[in-house]
Amino acid sequence: MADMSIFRMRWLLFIFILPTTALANQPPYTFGIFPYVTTTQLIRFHKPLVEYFEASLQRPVILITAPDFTTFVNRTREGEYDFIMTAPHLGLLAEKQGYKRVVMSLHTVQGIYVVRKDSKIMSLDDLQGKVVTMAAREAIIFQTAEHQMKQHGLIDGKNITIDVARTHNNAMFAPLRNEADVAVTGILLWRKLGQANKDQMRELARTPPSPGFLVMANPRIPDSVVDKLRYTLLDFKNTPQGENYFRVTGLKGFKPITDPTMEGLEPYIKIYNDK
Amino acid sequence: MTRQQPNPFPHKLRVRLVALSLGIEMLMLGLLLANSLRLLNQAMEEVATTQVEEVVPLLDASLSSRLFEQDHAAIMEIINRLLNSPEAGLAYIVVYDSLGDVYAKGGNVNVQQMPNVDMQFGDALNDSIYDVAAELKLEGVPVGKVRFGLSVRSFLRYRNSILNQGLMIASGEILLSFLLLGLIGYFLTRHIYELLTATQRITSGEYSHKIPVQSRDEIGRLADNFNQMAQAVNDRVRALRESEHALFTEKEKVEVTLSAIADGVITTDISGRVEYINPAAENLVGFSLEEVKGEHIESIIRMFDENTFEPINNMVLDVISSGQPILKGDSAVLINRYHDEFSIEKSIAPIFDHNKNCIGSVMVLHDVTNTRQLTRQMIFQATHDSLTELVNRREFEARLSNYIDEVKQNGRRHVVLYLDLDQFKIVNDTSGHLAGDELLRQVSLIMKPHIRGSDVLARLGGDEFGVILLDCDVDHAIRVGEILRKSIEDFVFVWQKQNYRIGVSIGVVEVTEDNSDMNSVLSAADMACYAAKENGRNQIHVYHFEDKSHERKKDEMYMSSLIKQALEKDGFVLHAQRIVPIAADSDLPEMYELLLRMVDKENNELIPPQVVISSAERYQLMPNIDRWVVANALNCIQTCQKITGNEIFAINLSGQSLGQRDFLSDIMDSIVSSKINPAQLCFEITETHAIGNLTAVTRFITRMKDMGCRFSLDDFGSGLSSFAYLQNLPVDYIKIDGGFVRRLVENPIDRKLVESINNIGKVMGITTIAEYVENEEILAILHEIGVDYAQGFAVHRPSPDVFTELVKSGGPLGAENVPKPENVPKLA
Repeated sequence: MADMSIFRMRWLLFIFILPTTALANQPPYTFGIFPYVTTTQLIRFHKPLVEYFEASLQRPVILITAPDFTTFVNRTREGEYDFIMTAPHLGLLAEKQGYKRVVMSLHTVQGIYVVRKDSKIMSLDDLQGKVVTMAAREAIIFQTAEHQMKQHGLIDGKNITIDVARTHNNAMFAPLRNEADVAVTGILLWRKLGQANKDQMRELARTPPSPGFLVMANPRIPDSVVDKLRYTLLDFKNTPQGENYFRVTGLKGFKPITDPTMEGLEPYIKIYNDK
Repeated sequence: MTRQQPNPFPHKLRVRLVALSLGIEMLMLGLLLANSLRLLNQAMEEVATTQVEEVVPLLDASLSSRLFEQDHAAIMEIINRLLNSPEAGLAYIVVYDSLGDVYAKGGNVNVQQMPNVDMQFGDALNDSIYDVAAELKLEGVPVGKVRFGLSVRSFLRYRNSILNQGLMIASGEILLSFLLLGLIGYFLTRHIYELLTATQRITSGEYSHKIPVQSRDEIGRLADNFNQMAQAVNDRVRALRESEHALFTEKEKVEVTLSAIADGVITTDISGRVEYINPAAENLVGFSLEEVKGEHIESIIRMFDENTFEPINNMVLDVISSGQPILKGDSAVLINRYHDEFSIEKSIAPIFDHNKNCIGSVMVLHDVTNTRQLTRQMIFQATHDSLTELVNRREFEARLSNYIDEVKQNGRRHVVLYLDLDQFKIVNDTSGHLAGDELLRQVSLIMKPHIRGSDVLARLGGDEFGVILLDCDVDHAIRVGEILRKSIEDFVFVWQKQNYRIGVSIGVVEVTEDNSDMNSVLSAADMACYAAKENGRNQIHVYHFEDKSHERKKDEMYMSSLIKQALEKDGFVLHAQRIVPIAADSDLPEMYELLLRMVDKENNELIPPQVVISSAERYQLMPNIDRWVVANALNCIQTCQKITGNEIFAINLSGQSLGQRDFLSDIMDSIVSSKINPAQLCFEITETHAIGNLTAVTRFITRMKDMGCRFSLDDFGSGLSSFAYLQNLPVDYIKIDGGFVRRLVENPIDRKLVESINNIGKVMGITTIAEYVENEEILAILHEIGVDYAQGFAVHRPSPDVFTELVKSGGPLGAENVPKPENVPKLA
């Protein structure tokens, strides 16, 4: 096992450390990504981005996350991360805390209601008295879905029961495990779901779309670095790695963050303001 | 000698068998345990490795995501749960973030001094913790590192438990094997030990011991064979002991013999090196056996020729090489280490083994030193005179004979001197034999310087000397003789404050080719000497063969041969003459003097006694004659039946007889054997002989008188000191010298002398006898003087027939019994 560890360490050195020997002289940047999928998926999805970061900034970059949205929000607020990729409303929240805008993804965040294929629920109106599972009350999908259901007269604790799952993925499988009648998850996850599971479920409805993920920089990061990063990230899609990255993650690309975008997110940070 | 190191491994078969078997078993068990230990370690390593391989993914799966999420609480929960799980067996867990900082830890570990990662399982045995490090990755991306310690104590306990069990099993097996092997060894080797015990007893000498093994296996057959062998050994040992005893006995005998014998015995090996010498040889060579053993015999024995004193070979190696003994070698002189000389006779013999191979030699050294010294002494004594140490008569005659032969062969000329001392008898008679002997010694010393070493000076007997002058003529001999004569004439002999002068008469004879033999030369020299004496003594007379004066001397020599013949062939007869008491009323017993006469058988006549006595005295024949007289007188008296027992028979004894050592005992034995009353015997001794041998004569008279015999002193008055010696001689009779008696009638002095002698005799209680009573006038005067007996022609003439007749008639001598005078002097 020790040999194996040594072998692995040597391989890692070859893969990661040797190309970045030039970066080794400076402390690494921490790049926190909000836990919108499992940690494995986070690593797998965003590894090319991290590598691009390092190449762009000529410094090592450590990708980290948090166990849940709340923790991520707290750590962001506490400044543990140098850079973050977070949900759009959380980006707005971070900006309010001093974070600097870098880029935002081209895709849009949209929730999707799914039920079991044999479910008798055919529309949102059929949800009265039903159990709806959603992930992370702080997530934008949760809030857009809650807002949409309110519009249909469905109030948590009143005529529906909202069960909070730890992740969107968990929430997606809740109907299959008979833990809920309806699950609300991200449309990106639904698309990545395996066909076998997909065949057992059916889409019920979708939430209104919301902006994609925001990449923000900690206030302690110099603007020059932020600018340089922004410049390179906007060009990331033009690289093979970037092309593959955006295809795999569904983020489609990066674009600068505009004020309207940020203003449109104001409603979704109310929950944090209420705390 | 090096001390033998004690063997730590006992010399016992069963012990060796058990020990060897146990050793092999222990070795194999040790190997088995070692292999088990190795397998256990290997298995333990595999288990640990497997466990690590199982734990690492678990940790990776459980921690990497939490680490990626920076979920410290979840990580600590995972750590605590793992550490609290006995199945996990983890001692500590430390999680490092991607920056290498400790993110979380649990268990007993100091993160500041983290133990080194164990590169192999064996390293974990030091602290019983298998220290492992592993990367934490998500999708291949390292998110941190985890260090954990896998406790292997349980493995070690398990391994030690198995090992202890194995050791216990092995110990039990060894113990069981020990017992079983001990029993097997005992039963297998029991008979061997019986064999061993038996061999030890046999080795210690109990050859008759039998091995009591009854089994039929190989040991049993071996025991049977061993018993047979022991029996054979016993028989041979017994035979050997008998041989040894016999050999020892023989050896003791030989050694005792060799030690006891006076001859030196030396044995050598074949190279001549000494193997043994006996005590006698040790004394001879001066070395002990220990000193010479192994030494070459040449180095201890040096021999020289006895005559030339040249070194000679001891011949040992010659004898060894030739194999021929030298039974009696030449006489040699041995000089030992102390330079002592020994005259030896050596014998050397080779020693052979049973294959007839020479293996050494034995040398016998016969010490003849004393023998040769004695021989030389005896030769000297035989050839020399004991008094003067001059050559004696026999040697003188032998040498003279040789020289006579040389003269005949080589024409050499020698001269013989015959010397006879004058007046020697006076010295001898007056001062005794001691003075005479001393005179002779001193005369010898006077003569020696004048005689060459090559010449011969000898004492021929009495006062006679002889000289042989070699390669000398008569004139030179006369000069030498004159020197001798003058030297002796000038010599004054002093004895007890009295001075004596003597002379010497010398006869000179030249030894020429004409002298036929030694006797004729000596006879001539004797006669020349006699002539010198007759010519007035103290002079030299040269013998000439035509000189007639030597005839008479020749007659004496002839007479001596006749005397010898008479003694051998009974040529003597005894005559008797009566000695008659003079007084008519005398009660004295009758006496008869027995007189010797020699018969000339050729002419049938008696030889005059003075001729016989002169020759007999000169040639030392008187003792034999006296013995003949005594024997025949006793025989006659014994056989005479008419003897009354009162008669006294007088027998004359010469001075030569009295000086002989055995004469007294012979006479006494004869008297005892004859059973004749000794009182009837009277022995007559002349005064001259008595005085000359006073001590011997006194002893003789005393012994004979103790026996009962009587003694008469003959010719009393003829000597100068007669009266003085009379007191010392216990005689019964004195016979007054006939010279006084014969002139008694016409010479008053002789009468006075006879009266004096008679008076002295009366005073001393001695009976007196007058001899030479030739007529009646003398007889009358004797009667008047008072002499007791008369003897002579006037009384009785000696006769061979009268002896028996006279005895027969008995009684005092009467005139009618007087026979006719015979003009023959009595013997003695």
